[in-house]
Amino acid sequence: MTNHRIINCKLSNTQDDKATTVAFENGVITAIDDSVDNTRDANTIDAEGRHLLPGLIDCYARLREPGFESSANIASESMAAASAGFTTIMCSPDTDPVTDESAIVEQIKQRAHEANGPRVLPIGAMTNGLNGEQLGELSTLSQAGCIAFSNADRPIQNTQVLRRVMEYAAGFNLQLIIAPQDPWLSIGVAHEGAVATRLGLAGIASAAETVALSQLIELGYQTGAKLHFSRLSTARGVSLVKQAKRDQIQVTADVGIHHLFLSDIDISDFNSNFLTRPPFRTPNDLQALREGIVDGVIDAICTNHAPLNRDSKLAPFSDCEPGTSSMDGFLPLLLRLAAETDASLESLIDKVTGGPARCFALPQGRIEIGAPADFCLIDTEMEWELTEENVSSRGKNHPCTGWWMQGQVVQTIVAGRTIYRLDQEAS
Amino acid sequence: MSRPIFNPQLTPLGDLRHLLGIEGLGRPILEEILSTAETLVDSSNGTTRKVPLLRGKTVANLFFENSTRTRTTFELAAKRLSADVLNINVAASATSKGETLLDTLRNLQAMQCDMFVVRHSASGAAHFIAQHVEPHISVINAGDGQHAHPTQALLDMYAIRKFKGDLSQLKVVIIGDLLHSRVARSQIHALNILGVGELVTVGPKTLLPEHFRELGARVEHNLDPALANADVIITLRLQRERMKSASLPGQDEYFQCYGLTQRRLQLASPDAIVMHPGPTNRGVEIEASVADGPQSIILDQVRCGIAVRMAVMSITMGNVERALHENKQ
Repeated sequence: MTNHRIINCKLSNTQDDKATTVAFENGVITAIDDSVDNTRDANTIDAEGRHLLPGLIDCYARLREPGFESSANIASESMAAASAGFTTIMCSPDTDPVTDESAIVEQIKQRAHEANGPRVLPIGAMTNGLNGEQLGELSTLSQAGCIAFSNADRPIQNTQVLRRVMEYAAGFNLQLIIAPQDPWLSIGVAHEGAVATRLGLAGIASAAETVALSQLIELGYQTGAKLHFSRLSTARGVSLVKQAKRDQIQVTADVGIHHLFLSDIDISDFNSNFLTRPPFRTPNDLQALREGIVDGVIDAICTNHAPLNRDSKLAPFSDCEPGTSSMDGFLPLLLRLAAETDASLESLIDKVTGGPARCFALPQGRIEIGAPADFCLIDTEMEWELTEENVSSRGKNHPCTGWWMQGQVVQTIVAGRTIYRLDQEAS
Repeated sequence: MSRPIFNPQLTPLGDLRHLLGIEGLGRPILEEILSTAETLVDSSNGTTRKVPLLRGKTVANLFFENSTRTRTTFELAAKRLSADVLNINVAASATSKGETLLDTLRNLQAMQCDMFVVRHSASGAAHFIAQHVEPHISVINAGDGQHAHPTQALLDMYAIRKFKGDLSQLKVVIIGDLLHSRVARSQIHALNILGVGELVTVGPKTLLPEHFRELGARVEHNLDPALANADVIITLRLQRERMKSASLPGQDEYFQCYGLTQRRLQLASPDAIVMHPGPTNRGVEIEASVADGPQSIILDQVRCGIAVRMAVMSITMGNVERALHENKQ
């Protein structure tokens, strides 16, 4: 295979604005050179001074296949992810049938291969059918290609089962992804607070998260399981994770991108695009989540992508399906976060590249010699409006519809192969 | 981050188009409804007159949840406005066949209705319907989940003014299960918009969360001291499914702590009035002798309901027509 080069690019980990050349061959980065290089051939991509990032890694998304193709499928969401700069997607096991056997894992991998988009890494079910009772075939599923294990949004009620799953996973050194949601306290549709009280919506107390977290942290301590807390939503939750890390318990955590921008106030007049799990909480929680990003308590930012068909949101608020479409506009929101917080752009990009790569021991997420040639080339200036029409995901349930975005993904490359180009999109 | 601010209840001219909730309405709109209701009552005998304000219009009563009193008063109100009335008990028909709310709505629109009076078990249902109806249709919320019941609150305001006059001089106490009460939420908003002197809510902590403070009411859990100098006492209905649950030990203890009895009534102002949105659970939230006693205006509330609902229907329909007319020009 020939030697490919991206010239005139700016790497986020270099302080100066020097143009760099990144060369790759057979899907692997072979050279990084900051001497000026203006020779061009058919295998040259001229970045024209733009930022070159490692391909983005999403550690929690729903691709809806198999089982929920009326909302989206692997092909449609692979393309949406590619256009948003993602080169690796970890997809949740709440498919139908549930991702609890090798055949389903194979099917997902096959469909992802056909889609010719980002790498798709299935997350396996912690319990069979996500029923919370019978331990899943974690070792078999891991060999079939599952990157980690989760019970998705169906919290395991029986703490003895939870403990056994953790022990078993720890024995094989397998990574667990757990959404900290108490099974009973998390019944409801909106954050329990002034807004839910005003609108008469069933509230989900912050304790739904913190009670579950306390339990999980103690069980993690007892079993030695590797726990990744998925989609934190509360200020107290961030403190609990911070303390657990101080206590040297093996935990990592992520937050969904929209939880860094939206709060329960946005539900306003029952806008069902703001119905999600965990619920959008208060502006104080939002601020604490942002601080958790800045001070490193939160390791990763995921999309928590939940594409839904129109009918799923065409009902009174509490009768709608929860979830937001959140691949589109991900990068501009990250840039906005850099502008609105003390976090450097580099550290924020790490939350969707190196951060998740460290959490899940992935070789991707870095631009280094020998690393996979997964890239995302971005224009940080381009402005555009996020509209229902330009949402690439099949799920149009995007809560930021109508927002002005700054920054755009120009090209996405997986293992040296271009899977998305903005200019081809336009034509 | 913000979206354009608009009030889904108002026409572009700022007039009431749908009545979805009390929250977000200005005092002039509430005053207009109450004073219009007054003009519809025959002062000689206290009954409402038949007027031709909605002649040629069709009002559909869409009840996705059972109700007798509210539906009947809406029906009477529409008929006294000379409208044609369709009563659709949706709980028993379409939705049980799997038809979605939106399908039902579209079918009714095709039947050329002009107004939907909606009751639904989900909070926000009336907002949802209002977002999806054609511009000539007006939506009146007859109760959505635990969110709002604006016509009930308005008729209560009408009754309070009729019996007690100026709200700014009054202390109002609302007792019971506020958490699950759409009536209480709408009453709190209405009382605050109309400038109530003092507003106290009382109930067990499980049924009256602290967040009610942010709605503009004092939150208390001990009834006796809260009743001191009360001019208006509103007791709320305790739903049967709450009587014995994790939220309450049972109806006996509830009655002991929060039931409005003759003894407790004496703690309030001597001329206090007693209200209840109905239907009452005697011996649970209110003693029978209080419900039937001289200070109770429970039946008067029902009577006020017809005039207030007539006022709401005629005002919204008139505003819709005006907005359509302006639009054409």
